[in-house]
Amino acid sequence: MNKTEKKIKDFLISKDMKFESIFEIGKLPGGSSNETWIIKYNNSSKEKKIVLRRHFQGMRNTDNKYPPLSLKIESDVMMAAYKAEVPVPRILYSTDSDCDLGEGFFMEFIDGIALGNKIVDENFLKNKDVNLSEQCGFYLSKIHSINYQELNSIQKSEASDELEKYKEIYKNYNLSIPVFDFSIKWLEKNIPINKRPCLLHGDFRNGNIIMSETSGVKSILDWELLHLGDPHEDLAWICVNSWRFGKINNPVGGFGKRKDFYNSYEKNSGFKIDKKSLQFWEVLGTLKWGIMCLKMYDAYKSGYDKSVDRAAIGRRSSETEIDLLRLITKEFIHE
Amino acid sequence: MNNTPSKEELIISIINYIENDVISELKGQKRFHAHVAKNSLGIILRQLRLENENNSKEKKRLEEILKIDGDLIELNRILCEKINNEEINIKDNNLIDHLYKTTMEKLSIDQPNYSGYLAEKNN
Repeated sequence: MNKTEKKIKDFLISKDMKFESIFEIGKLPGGSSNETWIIKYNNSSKEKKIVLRRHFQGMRNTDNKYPPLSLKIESDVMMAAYKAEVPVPRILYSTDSDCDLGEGFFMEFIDGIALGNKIVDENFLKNKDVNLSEQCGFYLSKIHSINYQELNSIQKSEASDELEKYKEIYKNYNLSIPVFDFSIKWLEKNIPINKRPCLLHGDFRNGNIIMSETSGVKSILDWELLHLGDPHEDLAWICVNSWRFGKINNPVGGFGKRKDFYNSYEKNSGFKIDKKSLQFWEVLGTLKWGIMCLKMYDAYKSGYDKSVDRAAIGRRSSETEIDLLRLITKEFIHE
Repeated sequence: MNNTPSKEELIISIINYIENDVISELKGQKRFHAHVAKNSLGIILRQLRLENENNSKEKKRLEEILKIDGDLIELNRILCEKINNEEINIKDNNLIDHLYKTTMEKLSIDQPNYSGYLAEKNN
């Protein structure tokens, strides 16, 4: 057991003696700003798991222009979501920056499948009693109705802020990708008015939702991009083709239809979705992923991450170019 | 230079080696990386076959739109500039036609199995 693993075990035992039975602690790969650990222990002769999320090496990196969200805020929002009956892992213990482990929290482990390409598989979708799109629309409407005024220090990022942020990243790479300049110009001319500022998940897409074949949505994860903004941002992001895992004819995350998703959202929120706003956010979402591919390639170029996939992902940026052209120049929402 | 095997033959031999002998021996992240390596060689192979033809078509279209001569990097830089300062309108059909063609040519090298590329191709 290394030093960090020992700290994790000691912390948990100080909370509950049942954690004396911890027999395995492991960190998940990936995650540059936050770490995720899985802790296994025995309880009543059954194997149990809990999850720790903490900032990278316990410290929040604030050097960056866009520092990661404080995990204190992330856990506050997850607790508010839990109270609002959104399926999220229950927060068990929080740790603050004075704690040996640094700022973070322990949460329950949820069983199920979160891998996007497994969820879009026909075998996974064969249970016709479960409509994943309807469930997603329903839970997203619940997230958007959380009273954010009761929560502290949540940043607001509206359409023009989001566009400016990604435009700046792209311009800093000094690349000439005409489809990106074309899309940025189109976005600048089509900035929607946000009629209903609300709390957004910020990364609501296939891959961040734990599902099961029998009951559908089990838990919504990865809240680190949460912010206040336009509800259409979340409504559009899950439909970006990059998150359909090859199943282009199932616009909602590669598993469902727009109609089911939007109807369920409108019915439960009483909010009328605006088609032009959806188009704006789906274009911006697609552009964001294209620029994120360039950003990941930049990690290779700068020598930070020399892996074969960080180099190759730069060539996936062009995937978003065809999606951008189709979204902007063809009739939107024909599926 | 007239060396055999050709560049293409060498690349194909490596692709086959990774696919038939390497991937099955690996697990987890290493297996994933072997897949990515194979795909990157596929990109290089397609680029060797298609790049010259694609580049000359793209250059010809750019020269027609911009009405100047230049190399591809310079022409694309100028196109971006003219989109930004609105000297070229984003509703211009010649511009849109050029962007579609260039993007499809690019994807025929980068990701010919991408769902958006196939959907547009079969349109």
